[in-house]
Formats: sequence, C-alpha cells, structure tokens
Amino acid sequence: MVVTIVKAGGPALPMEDLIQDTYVRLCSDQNRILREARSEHPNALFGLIQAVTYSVTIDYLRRNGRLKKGSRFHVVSLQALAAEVSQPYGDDHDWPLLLKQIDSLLEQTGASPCDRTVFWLYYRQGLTVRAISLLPGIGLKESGIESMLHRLALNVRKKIGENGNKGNV
Amino acid sequence: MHNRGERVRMHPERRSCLSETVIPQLVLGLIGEEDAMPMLSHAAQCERCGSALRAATECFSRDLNPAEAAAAEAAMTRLPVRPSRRPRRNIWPLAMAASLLLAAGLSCYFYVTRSQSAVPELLAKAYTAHRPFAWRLPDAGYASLPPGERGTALTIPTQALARAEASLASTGSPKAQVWRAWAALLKRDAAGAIRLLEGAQPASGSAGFESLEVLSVAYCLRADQTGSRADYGRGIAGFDQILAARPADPRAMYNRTLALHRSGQPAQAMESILGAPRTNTTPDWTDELRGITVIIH
Repeated sequence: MVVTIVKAGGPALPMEDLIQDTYVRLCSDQNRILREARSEHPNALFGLIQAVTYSVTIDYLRRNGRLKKGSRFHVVSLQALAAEVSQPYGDDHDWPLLLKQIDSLLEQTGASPCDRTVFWLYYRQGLTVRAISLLPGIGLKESGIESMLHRLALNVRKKIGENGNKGNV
Repeated sequence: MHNRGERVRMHPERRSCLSETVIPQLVLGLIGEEDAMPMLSHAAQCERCGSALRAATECFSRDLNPAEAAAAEAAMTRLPVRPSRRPRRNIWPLAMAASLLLAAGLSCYFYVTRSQSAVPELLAKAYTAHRPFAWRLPDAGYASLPPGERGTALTIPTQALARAEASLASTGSPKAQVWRAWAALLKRDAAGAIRLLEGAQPASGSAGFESLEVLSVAYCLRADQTGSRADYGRGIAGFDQILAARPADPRAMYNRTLALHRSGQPAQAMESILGAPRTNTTPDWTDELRGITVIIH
C-alpha cells in the first residue's frame, strides 16, 4: 500500500489516512470488492489491494486539487505522424477526423482489432511499449509490439501515400 | 482479479468508461483476457480512460527514487498511530502519604472538637446516671438528693469521672478550667472547685457565666458541708448575678431556690419558685420544679 501511494502521489501524502481509506473502501458495502473479486492469479489479493490503494490515492489527489485534469499526463502527440503524412490536418478541430481516418486506414490494411488497440494505446494514449506488453490480452513481448507498431505505421503511411496519389484521402 | 460489479459503474455520460478501480486491476493483470480486450479497446479510443490507463501503467511500472524509497520505508516501519501512553508514575506512595496525613488531621480535629464537647456530656452522664432527669446536670442542683427522696440514690460512676478528668487534664482553655471545677464538685470537693475558679482569670461570655455558676454551686456545696452562711450568701449572690443577666436561666433559678431553702429561708425559696418565669414548660423541667417545691415544703 505504501509503495503504491508513494508511486501514485509522492512521499508527502498522509500515508496513515490513505491506508485507512483503502481498508474502508475494501470493507465498504459489506466487503463488496472482496466478494466480487474473481481471479485465479496467484497474487490476486495483493494486486486488488494495490488497485484499490491506487484508486483511493487518485481520489484523494483529485479531491485536494493536486490532480488537475490532465496535469499528470503528458500527451504523446500524433503531430509527428501527421507531419509525416503532410496532410492539411494541422487544425485541432480536424484532429478527431484525422484519428478516425487513420483508424479507417488501419482497418483497410487488415490490422486486427487487437493490433489497432495496441496502435492507439501507443500513439494516442501514450503508453510505453513495455506497459502495453504487460497488459492482459495483448500476448506480445516488447519486441513484438515494437515490430507490430513499426509495421502498422508503415502500412498507414503507405496507405496514406496511396490515397494521396489517388487524391482521395 | 476483476470486480464484475465495477464494470457496471460506468461514467454517467459514457457508460462504457472504466471505473477508477478497474483500471489499476487492468494494469496489474488481474482481469482476464476476454474481459480485458474490450476494455483496452475502449481505453485506446477514450481520452479519459486512456489517460487513466497510462497514468496507472506509469505508476505501477516505475521504480521509486531514493527519496521516495526512504519515505516509504519510514512509513512502513512507523508504528501505527495510536494514543500515546504517557509513562505512569507510581502514585501509590503519594496516595498513601496523603491518606495518612488526612486521617491524622481528621483524627486531631475530631479529638479536639469532640473531646471538648464530650467532657461535659461525660460529666453529666456520670452525675445523672441514676437520676430520672437525665442530661440536666446543672438543673439537678448543687447537692445530692437524699436517698429515697426521689426514689433513687445518687452514686457517681468513678470510671466515667476518671475518663472525664483525663480529658480535662489535656486541655488548658478557660472552659476546661470550669470543667475541672465541676469535676471536683462531682467528687464533693467544693474547696478544690472554689480554689480552681477563684484563682482563674475571669472569663467572658458564656464561659464566664458557666464559671460563675459553678463557683456559686461550689460555695453552696461548701456551705452545706460546713454550715457557713457566708458561703450560702456568696452562692446566692452569684445566682442573682446570673439571673440578672439571664432571668430565664433555669439552672440558676433552681440552684438559688435550693440554696435559699438550705440556708433556712423557705419563704424566699418559695417566692423564687413562684416568681420564676415559665419559659421552660417541658415535662421534665416541670417535674423538677414540682420536686424542689416538695423539698421546700
């Protein structure tokens, strides 16, 4: 719990209070979180406590205004990708449209839903390759993800180039 | 480990959004692959859930820096917060000493106060032990009643007197001097009583009246013993002095009447009885009056 709290919010947080809040949340609603937990993971309980601790810490930071919306996130922008595409999509208002078109291009290249999820987790949400490799259901190591991302980006560029030559992006 | 109940707790505006508890479970691999993929797919397209997912992955994947590690270690080794127990002093010796001092003080107080008040009570009890008019020592007169005249014989319990005298010997107040003289009277030592009171400093207030009364009684008793009319005269003068200040004093009136009777002045004695103010109408006092009236007749 302490490590999770420190990782999530730094060492200056009130540890005892947050640990207490974590226990309260675990036991609230007649131990609903513990009762509804379903997992065969050997460290399931430890992980659940970590998860609840993290959630409690984030809530605390949010309540105390230390966590302003977006303040702890750094945006991995697709500007570079957009620049590579060299399309007139620099305007922020066109950004959702660009993302939708890129996703459509990904689908056209034959990328599976899992591949597209990995692609967007990396390029849009800013997760690292290592973090993605640790997520359940991905089933790839870091090297596999890197090669997949490289392949997907290449395919998208190729597709954009093809569409550009055709004049209908 | 996955809380299925958490999945239904969606964002009110975006019902498919992940809750804050599910996201860390997702990052920690506690959610099964089948359930995880739709969540990840949503998080990849949702700014809110994606940001939360990234923050969670950053949180759980990073290592603590030295400062954070030190803080975490200190927090883990810190004792749980609980009310501090101040070291208790052993207060029993102090409590025992205080109790002893209090007991000693109370004993002294009660010895001084109760012993002083107990002396005349003890003397009265000793003198009137066999008299029907209990606790009315002064009113019983300065002389012993003739055996059989009131149906009882006067005897003085010497043990009670000894205790009373022992108490009197320990005090030096003017009142104690009066008590000593009274004790001497109880032993028919009229001369001793007179000696004690004549040599003492005249007291003021109630102590002064008591002293004068005892001295008058002592004169009368010595007159009974010696037949001295001068002593009767001194005694009667003393009672007159008391009655001048306290006209309703029953003891002075009783003893003055008795002294007049003993000194051979029955008419004055009767006049004293008849002229006495009827302030005390208790049955016992009325009986005493009747008794002395019988004696005078």
